[in-house]
Amino acid sequence: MKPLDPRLLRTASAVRTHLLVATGCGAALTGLILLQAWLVSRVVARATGGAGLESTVGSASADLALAIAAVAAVAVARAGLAHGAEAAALRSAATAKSQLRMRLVRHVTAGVPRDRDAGELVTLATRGLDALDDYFARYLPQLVLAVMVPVAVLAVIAGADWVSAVVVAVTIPLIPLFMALVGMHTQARTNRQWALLNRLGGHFLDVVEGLPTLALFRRAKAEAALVREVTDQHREATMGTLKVAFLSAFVLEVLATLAVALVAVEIGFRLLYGQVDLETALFVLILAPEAYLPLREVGARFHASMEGIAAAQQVFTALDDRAGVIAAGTGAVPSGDLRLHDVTVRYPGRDRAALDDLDLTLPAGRTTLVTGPSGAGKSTLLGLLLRFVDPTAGRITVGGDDLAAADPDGWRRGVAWVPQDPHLFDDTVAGNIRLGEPDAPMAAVRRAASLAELDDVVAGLPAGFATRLGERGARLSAGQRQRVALARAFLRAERSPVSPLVLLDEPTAHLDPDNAAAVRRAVGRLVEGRTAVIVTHDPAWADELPGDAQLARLEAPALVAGGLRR
Amino acid sequence: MNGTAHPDGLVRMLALARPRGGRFALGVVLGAAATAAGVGLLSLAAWLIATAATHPGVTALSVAVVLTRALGVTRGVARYLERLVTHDAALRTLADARDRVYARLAATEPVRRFRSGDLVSRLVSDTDATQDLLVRGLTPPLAALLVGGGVVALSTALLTEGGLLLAAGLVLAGVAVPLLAARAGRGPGRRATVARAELSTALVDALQGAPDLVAYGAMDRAVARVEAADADLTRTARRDARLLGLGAGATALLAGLTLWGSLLLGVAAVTAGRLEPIPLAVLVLTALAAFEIVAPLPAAAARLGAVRASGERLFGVLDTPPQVRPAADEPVPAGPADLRIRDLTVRYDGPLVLDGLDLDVPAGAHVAVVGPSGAGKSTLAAVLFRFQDAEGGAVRLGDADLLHRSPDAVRGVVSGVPQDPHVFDSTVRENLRLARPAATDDELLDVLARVRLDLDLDDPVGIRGSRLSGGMRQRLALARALLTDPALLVLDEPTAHLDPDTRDAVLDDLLDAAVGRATLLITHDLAGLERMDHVYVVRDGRVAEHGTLAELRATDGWLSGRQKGQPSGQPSGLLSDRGALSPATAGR
Repeated sequence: MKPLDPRLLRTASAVRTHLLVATGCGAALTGLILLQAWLVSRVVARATGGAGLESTVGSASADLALAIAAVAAVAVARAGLAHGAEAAALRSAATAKSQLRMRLVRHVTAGVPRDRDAGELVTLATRGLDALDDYFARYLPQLVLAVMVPVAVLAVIAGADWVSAVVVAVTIPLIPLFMALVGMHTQARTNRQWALLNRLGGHFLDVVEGLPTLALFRRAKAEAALVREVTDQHREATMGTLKVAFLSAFVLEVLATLAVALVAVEIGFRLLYGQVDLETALFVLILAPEAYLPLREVGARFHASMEGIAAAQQVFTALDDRAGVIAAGTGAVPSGDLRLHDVTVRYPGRDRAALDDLDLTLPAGRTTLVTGPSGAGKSTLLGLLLRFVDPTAGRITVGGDDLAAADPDGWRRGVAWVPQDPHLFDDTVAGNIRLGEPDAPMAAVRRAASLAELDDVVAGLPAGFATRLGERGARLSAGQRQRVALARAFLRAERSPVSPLVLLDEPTAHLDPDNAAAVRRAVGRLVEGRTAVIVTHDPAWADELPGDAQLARLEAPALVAGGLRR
Repeated sequence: MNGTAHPDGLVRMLALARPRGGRFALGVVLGAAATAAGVGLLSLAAWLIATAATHPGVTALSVAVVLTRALGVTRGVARYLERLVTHDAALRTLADARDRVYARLAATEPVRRFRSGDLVSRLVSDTDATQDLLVRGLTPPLAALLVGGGVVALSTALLTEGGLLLAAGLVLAGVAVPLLAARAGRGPGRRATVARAELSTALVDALQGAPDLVAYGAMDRAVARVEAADADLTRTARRDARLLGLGAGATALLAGLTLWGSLLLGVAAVTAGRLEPIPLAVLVLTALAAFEIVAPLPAAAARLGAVRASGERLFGVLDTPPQVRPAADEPVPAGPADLRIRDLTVRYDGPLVLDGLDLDVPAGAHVAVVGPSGAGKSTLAAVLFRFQDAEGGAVRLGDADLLHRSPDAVRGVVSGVPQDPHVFDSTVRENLRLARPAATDDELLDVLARVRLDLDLDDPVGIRGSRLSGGMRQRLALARALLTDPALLVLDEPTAHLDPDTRDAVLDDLLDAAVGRATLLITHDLAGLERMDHVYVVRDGRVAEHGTLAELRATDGWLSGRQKGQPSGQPSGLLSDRGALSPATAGR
């Protein structure tokens, strides 16, 4: 993983600003570190040389008092800089996260909905990106310092004492070199043990989740010994990995401190033989650890910050994933009989066609009941009619006009769809019903709710239509959610400018008998006199529908039997 | 956080972790040695150089020279060993904690808590937080206390006021700043949580509700809502950044001012003749290096706060009292027997969930319990599995009253498929042998055939059985129950999460496998009732009507009003989920 992903710089302008600010702060901080070392060595050397604070007059003591005062000034300046840099970094992080998040959201919500793991995307866009805070506020500034400080310190030490400069110049490049070598070795070993660690780590969760099942089979107490055994295995495997993983930090620590020790001894002897003066020696001694400090900090913060980088890379991967696109015409919305002419749908990356050579007419103003087993393409058929997916081959016409030529948004305005598992929004009941018709008057909402058998549900809510339903409509049961979705469809169908198309996907699957009965009554009302498609596995629906309903059966992968019932 | 009567979450976590005294102390000593080596190196080097400046003989420096080099190596070695020792202690602590948490859970069986998968996974990560307690929570402050004490003692020996100043600086930077930073961070943390919750909800709506939004032309509005929530969160974070940066600034200020104070006091003391030049160098450079000691403390404070929060959540679950009172461990006779439930009443905390339920399952008969959600059907299963005590009534299997036998005694004769049966991340064989550890492969293959599951015993089933389809998981769970050869088989919503095609086939095969065995099928839908000998309709905790399906259809009751439109119960035979392993994630 690269410490600085160029895509991050390109995507989020805040990152570029942040780098500039971090570099500026780094340069100022480097200057202050050098200044402080110089002041301290000067004060100690002068004081040792006999220039006290209270000496009557004389430039030496005035100089000393000034230098001590300057140390206080440096302290205040460093504190201000530390605060400012951290605050600026957190601000940049907030902006950069927002930029990445909104790019991600705009990208995945563009076009037609696609099959994605929405839960994972939500986590990525919130907690995942939050890991960038550490990267911005702790890692990047330290990375800047790790480049600047050693170079500046080396240059200054070289000016003061070239032998010490050689010691530092030789050891500093050794650190990244050894770390890379150890890191490569560790990587190989860690990768080998990762699968084992994962499995062992997941065992406890597995056992705790399965506790009721274990209890049922009278194994709960017996399993305790296994918990212990597996945790011990986990410990041994982890320690095996850590012994190697910690080597990298070990090399860094030993090289950095030993180098400082060498410099101290070396400069001590040169001082002893009179080759340097005390002030220079102290100056070099104070500066030497500063050359290694940022490198150690970068090493210590590497892992935490890489989580943020990993999250950013996930965002880039999602951005590279093309949005779902359909052929979007701009023509007027046609009406009349819907016909599918030898339509085939093949999803990329799947062996089998989702729908193979389907030829079907959906007569206007009548209901078609589409049954068939899972995988026969029932949901794909609804996807085609919703214009979520285009036929890979064949075409769909409405009253003889090609559906693909029509404006998809305009077409959907005439479609009332109730999915198998409708999504309710964290909004009021009325807001959820108004999803497609935000301007519908309250009277129309009430009527739609009534038609959808929602009256008793609304009456039972604390604020009626103004009750907020919570995330994913958590306040309601599955059957009640289904009825809210039906009300949504009623409102759309009633207000549709053209003769609406009603699409229903497994309206009563997973519902208990009471809710199923209510939904069936509402569906009967909704499809009456309208062009409707009900997709279900359950042929018993035929008894519920108007007499002129058409029955079509999909067999994986093609239509086997179709025709008019009765 | 807000002073409850319960002992503090942190204290209880410590008790749970039962610190591994020896290893933990060794870790602290090693950590202190590593830090001390770093600070000591600079103090010693200062002495070396200041002494060298007086041009003594080489021998006067030789000990210091050797010591300096030794310290240079000590730091790295001590740090490496400290990490190994503390991580080892932490992992042992984790083992202890898991052990104890599991034992408590196994003893109290808070089964109702297990309905929420989120809660269970949080409970596990809260248990795992105990390992942070030692490594990242307690070792840094204790090591800092040791080294800080030593450094202050050294400085005090050199110059009393210098030592006191350093002590003040270290305590402020190591204790006051982390505490104040935590307090200052509370407001921003709360504001960010509120803003993040709104953003998260808006994102869930926009991303998970995408099909509904696009179909109803409302995606633009949803994205606008995400934008507004994001802008709000970003604004809050940017405004609070200054507050959150205070800690870093305060630490830097304290370090710098302590250095300045040391210089001031030191030089004054030298001028007054109370301090030699060499100790001055040592005093000042020690003060310069000493703040390394307190650097890890803010992170440790944050870690301890997180562990305390984990402790409070964890003990919220562990303190759940058992749902079942101790009872006689006298075994219940095995073999076919009639189940007679009379006047059964059950309540959890509020009103009665079962309110005088009477129900019979004659030996060998198949009986269904149907009814609307919340009627108390699953509570009946919980009572039969002995996960839940009854308040009154009797549950007799043959001559034994199950309510007065121990859970294990009852589970020897009553088994079945609970709601959401857990499939363990192991092989088919291990999942089956759970029910009968001594079973031979032939017996296992035989029971797999009875539930019409064509799997290899060595097939891995994946995490939570993710490599199996929903129907296969139910079949495996039933196979497991059949292996215990129970007198009564209880099936609690065995088809709840199956797609309609699979549902009929699975139910049919489950009932085939249970032929001749007393079986109680609890279900919220009305599929497959044709095959049941007797059907009970439970509403509001009591039996509303019962009889054969034909009788119930003929009478004008709850069931006859709802049978219309339900599938015939004939096996569809079109699609079977028996067979080979399916991939872990199937597309829509």
